Amino acid sequence: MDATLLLGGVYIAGRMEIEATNPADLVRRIMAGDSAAEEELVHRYSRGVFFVLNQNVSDREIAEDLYQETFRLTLEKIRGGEVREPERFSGFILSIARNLAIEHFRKNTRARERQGEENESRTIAAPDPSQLDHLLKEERATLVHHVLAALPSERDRKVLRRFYIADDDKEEICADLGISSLHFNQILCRARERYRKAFDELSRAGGK
Amino acid sequence: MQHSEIERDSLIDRYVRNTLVGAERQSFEEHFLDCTQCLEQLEIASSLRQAIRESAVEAVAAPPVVRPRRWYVLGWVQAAAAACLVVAMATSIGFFEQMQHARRELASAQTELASARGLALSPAVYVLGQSRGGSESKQIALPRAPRWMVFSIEMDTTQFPSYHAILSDFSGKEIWQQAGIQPASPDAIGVTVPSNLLAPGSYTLIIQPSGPAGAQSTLSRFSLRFH
Repeated sequence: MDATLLLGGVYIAGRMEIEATNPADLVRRIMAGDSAAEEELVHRYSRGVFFVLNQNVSDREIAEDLYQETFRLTLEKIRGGEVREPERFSGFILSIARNLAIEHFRKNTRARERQGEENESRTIAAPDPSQLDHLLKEERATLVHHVLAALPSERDRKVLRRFYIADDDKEEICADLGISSLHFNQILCRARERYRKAFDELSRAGGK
Repeated sequence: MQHSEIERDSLIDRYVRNTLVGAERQSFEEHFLDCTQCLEQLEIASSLRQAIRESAVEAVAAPPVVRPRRWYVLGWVQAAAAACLVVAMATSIGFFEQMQHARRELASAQTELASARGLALSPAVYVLGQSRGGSESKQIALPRAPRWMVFSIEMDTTQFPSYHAILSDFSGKEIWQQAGIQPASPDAIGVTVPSNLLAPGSYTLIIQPSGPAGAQSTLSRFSLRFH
């Protein structure tokens, strides 16, 4: 399995570095019909655009559809000369992604309302998770097990649970557990670092 | 946008917890779309958060062992009479067969009911910790669709082999209890309640050790306010 998926990535983007080409140059090249520039643009923004969509849409498959549609529309608009401020290209592509996500929610809400009118007592069943979702979940569980086991104390585990599961405020957690803000940041930082290392090990093992 | 500002204002954590809003969120998104460093930190934080939430659900969402609610207490005379009646009936094979059939029907009906009420949906998880404030109610939004609500309760679970949870409404009336709860970890137990039992209002959840001495010793008490 491509371990990038665990971090919510997409196949096409992989973990490539974002290149330093000026976005305005990319836009000009695309307008001039340079297909390599189109590919470069997709590679450059795909990871970020997918992350934003994935944060806003809980269903991964829907996020992937919106992601495809975002790039299709973006390239269409660039070719049609609709980018007014090429130097602020990030804002341009994000506005397309956000509008598509909003439109998706509107359609969804309308569909739910229609269904509610037909049968008010009927609940909409959550779609069954795919096999890929199961695999990702298992892999994430392995990684998080490494992270939690590596934490030095039960208090650190408590911090993570309260912060990431209960969504308690940092200040409240610090006050309850009698730790400083600096210590809190260190716990989070250590946990993330450990998680990243476990993830890298998994990526290397997957690449062999 | 500067990285010092991102760190100072905890933008990465606020973003993945969806507490970064408006212009600040928009401006941060525009920044990280072109910043590998921030994007990587965001992906790590988001994935770690998701993994920890999933592992909490796995740990505490095992099917609950539910002790039937006691509807009323019999006096000793009635209890003795009932016991005699039960003993007499128990000698009949037909009685056992009826019981087995009734149990199967009950189990099937419960499954169907749970499914019809949407309880097969993934459970909603809430962490209850012992805060220093003590008396304040924990505010909890009731799920819109019926589903299991899993309360992950932080406490030292090394003292007793199993625990008993009792949920009472504002008048002290017991509305749910779960016995024989096995600890999910050395410091947490999971109490699973179907949301369709709850109406908006104030409730008290108490945790006792399982067994005869349990009723005399409350280990944890939580004030909950559902809305």
